[in-house]
Amino acid sequence: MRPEQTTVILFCLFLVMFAILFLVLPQSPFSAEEKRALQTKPRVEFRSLLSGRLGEEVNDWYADQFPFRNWFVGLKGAVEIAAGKGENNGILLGKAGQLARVRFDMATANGAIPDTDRVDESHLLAAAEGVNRAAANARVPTVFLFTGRSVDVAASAFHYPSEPSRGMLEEWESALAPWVVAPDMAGVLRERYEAGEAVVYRTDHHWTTLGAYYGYREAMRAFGMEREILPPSAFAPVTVTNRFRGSFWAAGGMKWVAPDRLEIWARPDDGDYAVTADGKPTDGFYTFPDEGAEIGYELFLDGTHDVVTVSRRDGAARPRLVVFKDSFANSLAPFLARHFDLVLLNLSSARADFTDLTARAMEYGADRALVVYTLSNVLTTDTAARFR
Amino acid sequence: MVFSSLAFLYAFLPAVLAACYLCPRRWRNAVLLLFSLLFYGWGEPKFILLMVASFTAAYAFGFPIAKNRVEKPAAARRWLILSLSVSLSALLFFKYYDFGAETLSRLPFWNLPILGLRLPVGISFYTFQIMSYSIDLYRGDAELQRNYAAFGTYVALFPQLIAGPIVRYREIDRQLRDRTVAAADFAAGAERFCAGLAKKVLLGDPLAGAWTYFRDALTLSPSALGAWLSVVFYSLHLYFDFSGYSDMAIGLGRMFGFHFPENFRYPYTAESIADFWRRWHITLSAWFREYVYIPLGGNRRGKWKQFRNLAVVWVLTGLWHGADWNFLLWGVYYLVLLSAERFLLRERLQKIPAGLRRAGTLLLVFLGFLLFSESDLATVGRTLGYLVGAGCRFADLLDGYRLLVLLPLLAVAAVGCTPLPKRLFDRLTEKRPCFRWLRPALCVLALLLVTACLADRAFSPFEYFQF
Repeated sequence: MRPEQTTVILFCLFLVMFAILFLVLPQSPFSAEEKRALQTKPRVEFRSLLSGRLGEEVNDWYADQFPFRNWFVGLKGAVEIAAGKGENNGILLGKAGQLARVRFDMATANGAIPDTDRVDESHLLAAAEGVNRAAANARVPTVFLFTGRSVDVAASAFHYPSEPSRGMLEEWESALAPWVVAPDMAGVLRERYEAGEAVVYRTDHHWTTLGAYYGYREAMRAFGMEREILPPSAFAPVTVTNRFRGSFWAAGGMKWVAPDRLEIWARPDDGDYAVTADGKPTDGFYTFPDEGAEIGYELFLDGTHDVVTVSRRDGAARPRLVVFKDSFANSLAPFLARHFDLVLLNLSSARADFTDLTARAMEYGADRALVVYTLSNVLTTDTAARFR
Repeated sequence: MVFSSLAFLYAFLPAVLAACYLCPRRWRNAVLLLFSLLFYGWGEPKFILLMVASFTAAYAFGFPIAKNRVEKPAAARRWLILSLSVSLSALLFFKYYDFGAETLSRLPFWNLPILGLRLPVGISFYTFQIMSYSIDLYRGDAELQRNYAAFGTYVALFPQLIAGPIVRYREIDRQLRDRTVAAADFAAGAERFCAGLAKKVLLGDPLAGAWTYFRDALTLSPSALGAWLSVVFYSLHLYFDFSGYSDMAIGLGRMFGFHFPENFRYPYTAESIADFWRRWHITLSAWFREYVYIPLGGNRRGKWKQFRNLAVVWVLTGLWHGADWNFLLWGVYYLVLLSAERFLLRERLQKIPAGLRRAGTLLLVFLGFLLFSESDLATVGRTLGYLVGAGCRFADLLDGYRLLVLLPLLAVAAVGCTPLPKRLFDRLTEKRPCFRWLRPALCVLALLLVTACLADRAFSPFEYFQF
């Protein structure tokens, strides 16, 4: 056989083999690895055919359901890293398998600039102005906990230059008015990370339960309640899974990076707390998925809900803390709940706008307010700029 | 549909190959036409009607043109003008109406409505092909095509339908009537297709990502280095994207028995601007030379007429690429450069060492692409300022970091723009024939890597779609 004939055979075989495999292999509506719904076989309708939407859906269907897709995605990740880019799909690969998102969609007055690692100063200042305004209007003691991004916290794990990130944090801090109570959470976490503590997940954008504990400690200090802080020894760390693969892992395509350990810090009285999510009772601080399903960060407070409340089942009267938050607060809540009845309001809600912090704190009868918001959300949304 | 999608590679292509090779030979044009219409209609089926109407009209007008060509040339000329008018009217309306209305509305007493028309994909390409048939027929350079399916196949043939190469009718006339595909032809086509696919997906798309990164960075933290990198990455991206597409088109054509003309010949190694245009988008230059420049008088009748002819061609070339001022200026930019080269600097340029001439040409071409990539002229002006350090710093840490991590891509792209890799490979296979076995292996490797890239994202459009 000559090389030309081999080319013809291999070329045709390759195309036909995957064409057939695509049609005969079972397809799934959900990717557990990527934690997202997959495009399934589109319905052929005249309207979608005419509008061209059917074509797009078929393209997505092939991309999402392609045979051995996860292997191919891993191959692409490996090639990108081997090519010396140090990142894939905007996810950096650092020492000891530490991942971090380095590219984001920077919100600006003229619309988002996608996939950049540069910061729009005017947007940052507008966000700081929103924080300053809300802090000035606050009628109850209010603390702002701006959790750092993994790329800021785990800076020492990457070759990526940390100076721009530190510069951004300094600019942010200097733009906050003196009356804003905002502990340097990114600095605290970075210090702990450099001391060798796992305060952020390697494969996910959230802080670990240990990181959340430091958040709790900083918040309590900022409220002037340092004496009431429970020490780590008051909790019993329980490993829930050693196979937690989070958002960075899903997006980065670096399949060889080992999964994380996900733990909860339990106390004997955990069952004494009642948790409701959007008015419905849940299992408590932690909601475990069905048998066989992967355990993820949604474990904490049953994932994302607009309004979550935590109170003691015995009805004991305690001060009420209203937490304006993103998902970072979900793993922080079990710590705070030891001292307060909690109302957690989702700042990223598509259905409700909780950016009027003053009015909402009053509406929910707050004795204190806490804003838990990651700098990543400060950069990529206009939510903070709308605080009042 | 685009070639660099999984649906094309693993559904459309196997299906059309199977259908074409399994059906009787006389039906092949009809099968190709049907699949080409499906390919075209994938994104916006409504524009199929426009394309079919355009080529049906040209097909019909072909009969009176051919009939009257010898005995009644004036009548044939009238039919030709009618045919060209019909072809051009759709292009003018969809591509230029809004631009014209917007421009005229700035003048007093004009207030034309802006219709917000969507440009049918590939209309500039297929309109030029249709016009080529009518003109070739009128000139007697081609025979009348009586077979509707064969003529439809010429216009709508999916490999070159939406982004060229622009095939002149007489180049393909005989192949439409009769063609055979030997295994060696198919293999050469498959290799060319895989090479083009790899150029587009493995180099063109990452280069586009690097370009958009630096371009966007200019709006947030401008620097001279960032501006230069945005210009360089865009120029490299455009070459790999467009020449990759042309390679795929030529390769696919070969698999179906067609020999399309070359569209690129290492343009970034050109020694002058005129040389660049003999190497870049060759089929478009050839089309304008054949059907506009030479009929206007070409190089004859003195320098002023030459300049006029050049001006017509370059204004049209600019506008062909897009109905916007930046494209018009881009055309004028080349008019100025080519005129300077031809009328003022010809002998002086010859005295400059070839390496310097190449570098100078490359610089001018890359700077020209700034006009090509940005429709907002204020942005073009700002970026030109950044290139010389006006109103920005030289570089920041992130520029340096990005340049460092992108160096391997930049190096591969820079070498890939030259004939060096092909020469080395040819020499290697000449000396040691066993290395010919690398060809099938490289095809499979390219398919594997491209599939990996495509599986990791949904859609990878082509830059030249917009034209």
